[in-house]
Amino acid sequence: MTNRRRFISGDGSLPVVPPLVRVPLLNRAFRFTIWAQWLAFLLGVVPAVAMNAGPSPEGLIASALAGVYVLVSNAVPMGVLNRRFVADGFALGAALLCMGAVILTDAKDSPFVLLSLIPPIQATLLRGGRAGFSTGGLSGTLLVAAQLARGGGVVPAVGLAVIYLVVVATMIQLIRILGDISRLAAASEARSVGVEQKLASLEEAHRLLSELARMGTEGMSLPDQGRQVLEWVGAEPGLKASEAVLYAPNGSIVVSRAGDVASAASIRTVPLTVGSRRVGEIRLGLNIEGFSQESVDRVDTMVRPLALAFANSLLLEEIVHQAVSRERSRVARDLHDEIGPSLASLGLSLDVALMSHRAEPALAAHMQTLRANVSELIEDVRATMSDLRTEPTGALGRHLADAIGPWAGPGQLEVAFSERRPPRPGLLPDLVGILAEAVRNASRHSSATVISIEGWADFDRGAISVVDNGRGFDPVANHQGHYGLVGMRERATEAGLELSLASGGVGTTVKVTWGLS
Amino acid sequence: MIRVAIADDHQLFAQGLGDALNSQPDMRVVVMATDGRSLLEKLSSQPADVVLIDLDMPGLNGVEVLSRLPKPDRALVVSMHADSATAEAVKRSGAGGFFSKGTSLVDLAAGIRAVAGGARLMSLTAEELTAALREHLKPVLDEGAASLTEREKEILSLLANGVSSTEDLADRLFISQKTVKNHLASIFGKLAVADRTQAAIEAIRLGLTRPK
Repeated sequence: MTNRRRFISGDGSLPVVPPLVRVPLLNRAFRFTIWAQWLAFLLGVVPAVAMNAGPSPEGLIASALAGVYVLVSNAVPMGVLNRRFVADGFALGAALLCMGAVILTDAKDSPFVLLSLIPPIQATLLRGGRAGFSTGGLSGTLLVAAQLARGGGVVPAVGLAVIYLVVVATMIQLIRILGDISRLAAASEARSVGVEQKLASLEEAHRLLSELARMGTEGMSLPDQGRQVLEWVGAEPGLKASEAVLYAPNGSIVVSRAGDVASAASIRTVPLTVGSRRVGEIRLGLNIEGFSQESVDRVDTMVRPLALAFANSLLLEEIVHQAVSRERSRVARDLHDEIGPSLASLGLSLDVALMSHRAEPALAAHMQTLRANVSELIEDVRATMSDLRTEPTGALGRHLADAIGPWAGPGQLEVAFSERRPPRPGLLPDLVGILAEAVRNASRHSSATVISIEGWADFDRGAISVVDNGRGFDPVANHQGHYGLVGMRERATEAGLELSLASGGVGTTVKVTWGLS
Repeated sequence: MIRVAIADDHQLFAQGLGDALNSQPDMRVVVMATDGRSLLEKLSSQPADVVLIDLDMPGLNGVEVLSRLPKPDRALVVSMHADSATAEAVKRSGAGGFFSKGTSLVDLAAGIRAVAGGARLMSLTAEELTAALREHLKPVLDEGAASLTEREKEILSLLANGVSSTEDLADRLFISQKTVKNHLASIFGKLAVADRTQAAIEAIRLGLTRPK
């Protein structure tokens, strides 16, 4: 809006349109006036020369003036004309030349009237509304003055003079429309550039993802790539065995292995890094003598593809993980917002119906069963919701290790349970809490030399025990210093785990089971 | 009579819960709200004895609402959530109790009675909770309704089954019309109603009698 107002007020320049867009469109309009000039000139020259049945001196001089104007317009390059003072001078000169031609040839009836309309138009195009009006005003005034000097009718001359101003006003509107068009074009171009850039980056992402997916499915699995690299590395002199280790989110995984690294005389670790991220390592089992710096450098180069493969795999896993967790929250939300409450409402309706049909035992019993089923269904929905909202966390062993912390005794800790699948995520925090507490209790109070965690876990079923060989205690009696037991019991009941405690003269076993009854 | 307020953004559940509680002779749902803010607004003009609150609601959630209630211990949280973190948050908010949406009407009504009577169910173990609820299974009727005599209940039962003229009642019970009128006056007083139709309706609602 401000731009538009500034232009209409006519401050002598054309600031409305951003310069980059202004130049091409206005320049094109200006070039068009040059063509129009030629046409108007020819339409003026022919009758001017042929007037009064033969060429008159006035007609010839007028034609010459008009000719000078047209030739100068054609001769001055656009770049020069766009300069402020040149443009002002050009507009003034053009108006004077044209009006000279008009005045010499019958003023308002002159054949050069059409040509004389062009300088105000050009002034408007070059220098804006104010310059246009000045030039138009000058032309009009000269015309009226000439008409008065000739003693001709003033009214038609004034009418003609007004036309100059009207033409300038029309021109101003035209420039405004051109400005709007330019702005729209610029905006639309900017948008399309944005869309193209977005498209290009999406295409690039698609290409990379396809490539990654292809690598995952076409035999270039991580173990394959690991094996290949270990083969290359295996040719180095002094190398006995090697293994490639991936730092997966759930812990380190040995992806490929050649020989037994542990039995080698010395072990050297080569980190696998991409950028600043360490994604894994290659462990080299060496004979004591001879693994040169050159070998180390060569190995560094050879393992680089594997580092990239590891990084890609981890990246893909992160992407998949994000997608999965988004979907999990959506399902949990649906269960919470819709299915659960609807079932609950159904249950309450059954309760009401049950109350009013208590007199009919057969029907009441039937409805009671139905109600029990609905209740069970609701509890299932709640449990599923809780599972979905807990991140799939991975190995029980790793969580247990985190909870227990670095082991400093007293007693030796042995971890020997099998974990076919990690426990249900909803159970995991309580399970880990109870087992860690049991280990801490055994370590602090039993003077055991060996504490072991044993048993098995398979998602929704499992039995894990913490066994120590220390002095036992009477589990029924209230033991000072065994406050942890009360908390463990409460926690187990709340989580739906079964906790049993066996202790006698020697040793204590704390056993947690789930899904077995 | 226990006045109950319900706040739950799931309309079907709120409606079902409201109908179920209204079927209890000693309860009346006086406020229904679909979010925390409108619950607080409605409660300012219509007080309730016990408030049932869902946790996930638009605007103010359940825990935020609890912190703004003058007596949070007279509120029960009724939620789909089963995780211990949520239970812990509810416990900290000072709510009177925490029930699953799958809880049966009988237990829920018992919980409402317990909390209305000032009990705190939040920190009870599962066994203690069951025991506490068992004490509140029976509707607590108003003094008036509880003091109805056997004869008065008999008359109410007849009223509920369409025997409404003094003459018919007297014939059925082999008593004088004057005695019937005396009984009716006593019933009207005890149930705080004005006529025989209202008395019949109230009797059915209180579960004193049922139409055959």
